[in-house]
Amino acid sequence: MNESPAITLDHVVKSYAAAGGTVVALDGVSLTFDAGTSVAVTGHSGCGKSTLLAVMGALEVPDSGRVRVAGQLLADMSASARARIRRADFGFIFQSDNLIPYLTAVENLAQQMALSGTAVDLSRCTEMLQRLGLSEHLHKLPDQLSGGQRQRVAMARALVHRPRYVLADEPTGSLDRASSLEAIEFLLAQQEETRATLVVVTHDPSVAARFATRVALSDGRIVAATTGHRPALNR
Amino acid sequence: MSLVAGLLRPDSGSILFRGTNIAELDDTACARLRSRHFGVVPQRGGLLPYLTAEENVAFAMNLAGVEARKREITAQLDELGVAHRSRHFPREMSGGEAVRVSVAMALASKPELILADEATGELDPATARETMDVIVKRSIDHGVTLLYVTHDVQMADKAERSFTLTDKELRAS
Repeated sequence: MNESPAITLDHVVKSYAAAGGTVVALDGVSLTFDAGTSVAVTGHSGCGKSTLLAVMGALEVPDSGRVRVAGQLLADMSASARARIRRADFGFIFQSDNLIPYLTAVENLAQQMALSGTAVDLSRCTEMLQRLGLSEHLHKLPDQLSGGQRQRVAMARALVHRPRYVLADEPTGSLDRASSLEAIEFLLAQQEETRATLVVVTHDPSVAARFATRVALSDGRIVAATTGHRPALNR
Repeated sequence: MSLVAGLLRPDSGSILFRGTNIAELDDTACARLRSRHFGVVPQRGGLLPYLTAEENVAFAMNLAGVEARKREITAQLDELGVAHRSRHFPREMSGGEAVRVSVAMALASKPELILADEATGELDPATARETMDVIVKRSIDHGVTLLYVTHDVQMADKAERSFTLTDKELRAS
């Protein structure tokens, strides 16, 4: 297993102005995510999980501290270089699917490939959707799909360009328990196959339990970290 | 709106756009019509969360086969009053700002028709009115036909012509 650091955070602080004053979302977080590993980040709503993911994915700039992706300091990179790695090297999954509503499932994937600078490969797009049980829905628009189906399309879109890092922010938040576990198994299987680095933010203990490595956040700080073997699937 | 956009097919009847019957087009032709001639402002989900405002507009231009020029993108965002958000991600924008960026995306393909489906439906009333004023003004400035759906009578009054759909029947208001 390749265990060189993929993403490292070094004393990262990020705060926001809020109605009641300043909210410190990340309060001096230092973490290393090894290449080719899967990690769950847990914690209650507002503990800083989403901000952590946004900082790692170059969607937010920290107030202080350093973030490195594949050894490169994000702060040293130009805006266009950051945009390039965000599109090509990262795959993002959010709680809401964020599909382009006037593009079909296949077209949503194809656009992601184009955006990442990868040659558009429609057979790859189709195959990804088929693997997620969406063979009958390739040419449907998001509005014609159920919530669970839309989220599966969003997952396929995040993976179709073979990103090195997959960042998922409460990816199963809108799914029922069975669909949620199924979706996580798919993400983990994909991660094992591609050796991408997978980081999933979740408040759901049953989702977190599927990961060998878990990091718990509370009030912007790491309060626990567990590393072990991924538990066998037991439903 | 879905019928006009070619997203649904009518059981009978025809829908003409510049003499072409949309109801008779196949999926590929409808997709081409949408990307080349129509700009769509959806109620939600129009912006990709991992792209900045200017990247989202460039994305829409690429989708429509229009060359994405930085100067045009900036001008488009500026016209809609969101140039200061050019390098911001959707998560950093207010609801009204996100809708304005969606409008910039819809206009980016230089469409002949903009379809807006309750585009301001999730905004507070004051922001919704202000945003709708901008959408109407930009459509007029660009000489684009704007077709929008709203449940709000005040919003409907901003259009040159309005129709009310009651019990599956469309009547001029």
